[in-house]
Amino acid sequence: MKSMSRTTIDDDRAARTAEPGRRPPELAFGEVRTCLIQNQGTLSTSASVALMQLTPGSPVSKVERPVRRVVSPEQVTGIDCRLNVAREGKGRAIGTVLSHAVVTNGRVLQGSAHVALTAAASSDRREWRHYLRRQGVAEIIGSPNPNNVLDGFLGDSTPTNGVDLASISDRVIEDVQQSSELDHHTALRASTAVVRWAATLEAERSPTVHIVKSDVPNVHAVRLEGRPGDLPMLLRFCEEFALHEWLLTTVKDVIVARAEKDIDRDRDPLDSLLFALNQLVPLWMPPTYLSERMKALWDGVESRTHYTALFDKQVARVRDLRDQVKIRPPRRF
Amino acid sequence: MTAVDVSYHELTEAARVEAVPLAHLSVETGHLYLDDFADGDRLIARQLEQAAPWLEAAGKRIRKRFGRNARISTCFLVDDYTPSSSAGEPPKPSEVVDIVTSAAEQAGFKIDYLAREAGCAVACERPYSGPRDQSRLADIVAGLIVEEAAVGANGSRPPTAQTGWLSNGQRSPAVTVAMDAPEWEAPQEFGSYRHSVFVDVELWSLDKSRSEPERQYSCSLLAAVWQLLRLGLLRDAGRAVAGPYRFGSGEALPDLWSQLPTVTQLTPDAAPFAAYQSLSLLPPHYRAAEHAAEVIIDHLQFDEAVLKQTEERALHEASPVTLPDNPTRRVSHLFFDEVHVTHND
Repeated sequence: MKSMSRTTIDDDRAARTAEPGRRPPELAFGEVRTCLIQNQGTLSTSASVALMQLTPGSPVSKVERPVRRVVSPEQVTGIDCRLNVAREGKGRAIGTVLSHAVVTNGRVLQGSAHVALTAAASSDRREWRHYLRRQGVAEIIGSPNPNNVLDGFLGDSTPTNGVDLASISDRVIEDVQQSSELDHHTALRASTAVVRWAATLEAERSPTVHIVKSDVPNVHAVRLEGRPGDLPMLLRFCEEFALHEWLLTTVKDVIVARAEKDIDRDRDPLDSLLFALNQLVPLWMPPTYLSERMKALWDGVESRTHYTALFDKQVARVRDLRDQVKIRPPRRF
Repeated sequence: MTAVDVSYHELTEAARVEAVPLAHLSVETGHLYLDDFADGDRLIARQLEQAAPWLEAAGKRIRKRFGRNARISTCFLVDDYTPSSSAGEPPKPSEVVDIVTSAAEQAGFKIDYLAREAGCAVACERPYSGPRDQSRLADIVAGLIVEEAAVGANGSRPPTAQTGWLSNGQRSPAVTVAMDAPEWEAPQEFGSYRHSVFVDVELWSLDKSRSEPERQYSCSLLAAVWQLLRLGLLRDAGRAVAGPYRFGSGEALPDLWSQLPTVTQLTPDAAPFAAYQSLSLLPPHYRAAEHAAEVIIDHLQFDEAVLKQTEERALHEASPVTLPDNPTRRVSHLFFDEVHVTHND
């Protein structure tokens, strides 16, 4: 047998593999904010890429089909804070939160922050390099019941004590909207929608989704289950759900509702109707093309909510209103 | 019915990470300002003479581990970033190369690569390069800094990285009004054991003499860039940066330092510039900047793909090397004294 001399420069590595702290995450939290990009026109591919270059020298991800989706490099934010735990128990989370921006078709902007939680191996804070090596993971010191941690996160709509993913995802949006690449004109007055999600991760767990529309407008809470390896898929699902939910709400509650009011008052709603048809409708592209598991997840949501059918109905309504305006133009033109 | 296996991918979705050739050891044999060459080879001869025995010792150790195929490269850094304090013309690159080469020869070794500090701020791979084929490495490294979370930080406040300072702990609160000054609070190093060594590093200052204030990077940040280049850990959107350039036999060196590539290869069969381990043999006044560089590197988010690539490459060597998790553990220093023997002939 050929003898292999194995040179060890440091014994850090041995410690790392044996470390129980490197367990797969048990929980993951996230928040996705969706809004219109503050620019009069649609951004070109190169403008979208330039806009998403939030970290110099880090690659921007770009996909052209079926819709153009440009994603910024992950931004890393350090945290060391108490967790909001529902019912009893407490815990401290130390690690890093990741956040990125997404531009879809040069029109819709999303800020997405997420963190995976795992039990810490020791009860003390470690050196910073330890947490930087696992970006997007926070270690929990103390052993609160995962369900209480999850309820604590989803239940608190204004996090002042726990992990504040609202501020982090909001900051990504702000960083992008302030860019000099944009002309800061709004093509349509539409609000920002928030999807806050939390996932329980366990081996052999098949995916589940539970969506709750909050009593606060434009806020949804999503509770998910899956395997630890499903985490990227669940994160993408929440971003896609947020995008489609925003599209449906914007077309239904902003475009159609305002157009109906405008017609009643003899004002011309054609611009915003055409904006919906030309700019928003093409963005409806459920993520079933991504993978079998994603398809199963989305199809499940569809069968319960009929999102696509609802959206199609709204699109038909937009066309209907457009035709009415064309046949009988408003008096105040 | 049988399912058809179909896949569709776009290459622009995820950047490929280019690999760089790696030696076992990269030895920095010295570091001088352009002004230091004003009186010829006096200072460099002294530095290289000091470095020679340590270089030999380090070489012996590496050859003992990796045998005759051990790959060791030597380099020398010239600081053309710090503005010159003398009124005279700085020496030309070709003159410095001649001085460095002959001084090394006198000290009994060869210098494989000559690097320039301004090339660490903005890297270029060939002479006379323009903005299109440059990489703004100092900006890139500054952008990778993740500030250490203070106790209680939950993401509500934006990071303070924009200030141009990085510390390894909790700063002592500013006390401005003497009248109702609260009691002084000590700064504290994060994760310190009993006592703190609190370090606050200036990353850049703003040159306000220009119409558009430009960042003037500190020696500490540029030292971090320099160490990371030598460890082969820097990329620009996945591309390798500042690869060494070797001038052809008839090719003249440019007259201006800014036209020179970041790393110029001086010897024909040199081992790769970047390495698994780096050793810097330096005069003692670089100690503080090198420590600051270590603090900076300790706060960087590295591309996982780059770390993994280097780690796996090391494991697949003929004599496998296990690299430590922490890049700063691949860097070593030797600060020699400045005691000189006076010869009375």
